[in-house]
Amino acid sequence: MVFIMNKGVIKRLLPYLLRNKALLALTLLCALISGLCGLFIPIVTGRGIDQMTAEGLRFMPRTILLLGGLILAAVLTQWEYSSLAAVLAGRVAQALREECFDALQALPLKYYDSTARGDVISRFTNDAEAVAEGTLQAVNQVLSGLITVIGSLIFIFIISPLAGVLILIISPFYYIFSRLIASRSAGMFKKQQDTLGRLNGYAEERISAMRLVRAFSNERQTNEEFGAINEELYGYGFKAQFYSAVTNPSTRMIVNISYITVGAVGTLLALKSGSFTVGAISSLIIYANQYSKPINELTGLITQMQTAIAAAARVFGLMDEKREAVQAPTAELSSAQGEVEFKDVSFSYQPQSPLIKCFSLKVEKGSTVAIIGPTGAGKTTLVNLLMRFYDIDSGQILIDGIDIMSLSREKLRRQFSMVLQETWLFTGTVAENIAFSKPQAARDEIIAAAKAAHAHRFIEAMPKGYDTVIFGEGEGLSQGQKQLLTIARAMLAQAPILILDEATGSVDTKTELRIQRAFKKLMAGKTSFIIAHRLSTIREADVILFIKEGNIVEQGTHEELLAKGGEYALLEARY
Amino acid sequence: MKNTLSQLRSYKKQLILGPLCKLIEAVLELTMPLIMARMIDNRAQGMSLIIRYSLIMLAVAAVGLGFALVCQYYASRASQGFGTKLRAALMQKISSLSPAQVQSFGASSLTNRLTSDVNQLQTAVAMMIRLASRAPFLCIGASIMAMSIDLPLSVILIVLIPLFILVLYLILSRSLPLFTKLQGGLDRLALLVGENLSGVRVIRAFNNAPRQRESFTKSNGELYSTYTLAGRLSALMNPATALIMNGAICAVLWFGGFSVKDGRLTTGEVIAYINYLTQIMLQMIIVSNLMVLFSKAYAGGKRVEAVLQTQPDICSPAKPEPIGKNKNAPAIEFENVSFAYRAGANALEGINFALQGGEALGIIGGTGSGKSTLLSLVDRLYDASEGTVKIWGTDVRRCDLTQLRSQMAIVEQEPSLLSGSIRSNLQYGNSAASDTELIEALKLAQAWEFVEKLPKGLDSSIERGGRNLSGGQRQRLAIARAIAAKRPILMLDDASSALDYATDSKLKAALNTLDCTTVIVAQRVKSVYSAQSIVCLENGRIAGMGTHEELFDTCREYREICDSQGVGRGGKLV
Repeated sequence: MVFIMNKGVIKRLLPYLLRNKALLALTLLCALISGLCGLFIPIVTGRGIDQMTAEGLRFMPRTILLLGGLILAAVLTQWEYSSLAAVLAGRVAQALREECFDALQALPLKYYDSTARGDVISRFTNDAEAVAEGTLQAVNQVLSGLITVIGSLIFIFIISPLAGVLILIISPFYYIFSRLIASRSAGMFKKQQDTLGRLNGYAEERISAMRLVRAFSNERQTNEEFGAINEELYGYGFKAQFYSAVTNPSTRMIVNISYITVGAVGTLLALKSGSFTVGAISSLIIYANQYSKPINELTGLITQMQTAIAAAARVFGLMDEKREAVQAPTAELSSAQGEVEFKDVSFSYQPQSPLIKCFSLKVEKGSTVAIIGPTGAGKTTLVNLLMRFYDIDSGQILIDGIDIMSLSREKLRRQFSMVLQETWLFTGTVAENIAFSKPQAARDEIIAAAKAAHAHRFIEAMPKGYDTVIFGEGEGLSQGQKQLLTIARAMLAQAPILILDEATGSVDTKTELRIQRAFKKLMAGKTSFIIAHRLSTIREADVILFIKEGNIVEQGTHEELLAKGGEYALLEARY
Repeated sequence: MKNTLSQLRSYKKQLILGPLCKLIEAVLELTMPLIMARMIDNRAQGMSLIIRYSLIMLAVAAVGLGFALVCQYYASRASQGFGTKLRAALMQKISSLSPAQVQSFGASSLTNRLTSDVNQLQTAVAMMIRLASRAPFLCIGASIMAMSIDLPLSVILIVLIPLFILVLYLILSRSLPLFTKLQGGLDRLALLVGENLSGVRVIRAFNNAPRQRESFTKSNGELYSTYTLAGRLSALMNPATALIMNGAICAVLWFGGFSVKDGRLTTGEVIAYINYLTQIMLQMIIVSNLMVLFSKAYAGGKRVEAVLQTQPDICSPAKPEPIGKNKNAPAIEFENVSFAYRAGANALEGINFALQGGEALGIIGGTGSGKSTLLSLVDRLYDASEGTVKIWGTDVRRCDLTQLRSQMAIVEQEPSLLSGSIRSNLQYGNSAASDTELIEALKLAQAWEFVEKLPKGLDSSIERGGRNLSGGQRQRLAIARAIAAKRPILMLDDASSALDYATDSKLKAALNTLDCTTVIVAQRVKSVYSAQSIVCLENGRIAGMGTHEELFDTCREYREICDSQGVGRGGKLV
């Protein structure tokens, strides 16, 4: 039923199937053998019936043996090709997921920051599944159906060319009818699949933020909003379902019409000429049925196929998102000395509201730079630019005199150890979470890092110590403890440049002091960037930058800035 | 499956009439060959008869089409309606579960159950209406017809049917666990993708994309092998059925041959018998395919049912007591409260304190000392393992949950903002709040200064989790949201940790002007030291309680915290 769907999507989907040439060929072969055996079984059965006479019974064992052989061959090949169809469908889904994941990894942060998580996840689960199911049915039914259709048509032509022509005349109606209905339902399927994605996104967001929903007793509102999307889904789902469900009975009507026509014409022929026997009419009717049956069944598959195509379109949609530009690196940097320079850097998240304008700064190697300023001044943005989470609009950022745009992102990021404001832990053991920055780290190193981050004690107190599995958000772990784990992670990385973006914001100040001592050891001889709003954490920095609205408004050491009596001094006084 | 299937209750009409229509269509279809035979037999009567019979057949086919359409209509209505109701019921259940319960299912697994599992159930209902009546009807009808032709030959049928059931059982009992495993694998994959979405910065910063890719490939590979294994097993169904039925045909040929020789049966009867057997086989193949579909749906149904069956471990009592009967009772009171998370030592132990209405309480303590846990006992996200938590003199466990929570507004440490606009987020706790009220709340939360500058102001869009805002902006919006909710008790859980000092102190001053009872959890002494009373926690126990000066003099832990922040007895830097 390929003809009634989006050709572009199908054209793109086909190579995933064709990729497994040998497998596909074997599937075809099995389907062919099984189909042929299936066509011959009635003939041999018929011969068996003819042999039901006293003298014919002698040949019966041979006939039954032949029949048994045919049955066995048909059954085995049928099993094989259905199995292979499942393998093919599984492979298509697997490949789609892999490529989707590749695409996801190549997408810029902008995509991540602006897309509903549940909707993306839905493409990996619901949509990939729908494609697999569609492929399975396509290979399974279309293939065997096609063989039966062609086989019976040949048999019909052998018996009566006239009947064959008659059937060929009626056939296009199947096509016209299916197309008429399918063109209506295709749009509905797309809407259905999109709404399902939206529903998934909404549910995922609310379930993850259940604490908030609970706190404001917003369960009812949540249920109502969910209900609205759900009702919308019902509307599209019902229409998609019904429109496509109309196809099957309607084509069956055409089957019936052709049955009646063939019957009537056959009877008329028998009436007019004696040479056309009743037996011939009956054979014709049987073959006409056999010919149209698979066609009728195939139209029943339209629902599934359309869902699959709509789903595939969404999967491809993710793959087609604009990826991060990758230029071949023109420079090398194994381990940086740590000299960092911003030259006339400008950047904005949205073109209409520029955030950083002509920002320039030179940081000597081994020095500690503290960045301070009001919330939303663009402090974290500097980190985003330095690590190339986002690319600058104009200007240059240099490390050891090398433009970071000329380095590969991997090489560049290898230069940094960082602790971010948001703590991110994944499902895995505590040890795995710490070793995320250095997968090959030995247990001793992990423990040493945890000790330096003052996380060792509470880790030891967990049920299985370092092997305790952290689930999702980490129930029972406080925000501060999560932060300590991410600090341990950075401690382990040991990269030449250190970035601490509000690294200890949720840690109590007693622990913070101790961690700072550990950081100081770690920072010795390394360039470090510290973003903080606790003044105590930055007093000893070599240079303090006071940033406001994307620009440096004050710059100097703690003492210099105090003496200057500007914004920093004001802040200090309030503190 | 009781709870799941009860969603079908309002579709009784469709569930009965749908299959009935299908049955009528099947019966009509069966009469067609009889009419055709009549036409052929009586063809000698000429042209007019052929036309008459053709028209009758056409009418029968048209009526059949009508019934089929009605059935399809009912099937679509009932299946999609059932799915919709089921999703609504699921969401309602999920939003009544406690955070611990949500976590033990996993957010991604719950989302999958809402979509993917319900989808399978919905397909099963549609197929049930469309096919489940027709196939058994034709099966039984054909069996009766076959038996009426020749009873001795039907011994074959009697052997056959249990054999078919046995094969069906063998295959299904093996594939069913695989389908459940498949859904589990899908959950894991969803979890992994979700983690990759939320942790993208950390993953990229540590160049861990290849490793994430590896674990994705592994998960994906496992999913693939489960899928194909389940597929191979299900693929066995049709050929096995065909084998049994064709074997039966061989047997009929063999034994029937002797009967024909003996003159007990005619060749025509044998043909008819075989035709009926073929009909039975076709229907059995449909039945076995339906069984595969149903067993997939069953696996999904069990997962859905598991959620629906879960009793929320925290819910309103049957007869809630009104809150605030006793005007003089403290706003919040802890009596000998201890608490432990599922597996682990006590996170809180022997907590006693009372906070009078209108006063401010500060809670301070080291990382992991139980500060946030304490707050979550007040709005009953968790229940105390021992002791009693009271609000306005009433045990929180005796209060209606909605009423209890409407007493307070909480600002979390990592506030969740929802995708939508600034306005929709601010109105989350009070949907009736006017723009003036919202702006007032924004001003108090020190958020107006940046909201004002946004081109679209209150209508500016917020992305999922507030990713398009900085940490400090998120916190201030969350505080504004809590203020706009206008609740008698305001609880801030280290809610200004991402704010710079200047903003933080302005915020503190603004909060003091609010007429409500406040609980402030903080790291900084500066944030709590002006509170009437401060609780200092250490490893889940109260290390000291009192005013800043009292604690400074008597509590060692509190003194150490002050020292680490350079705060002296007078609250000023030393």
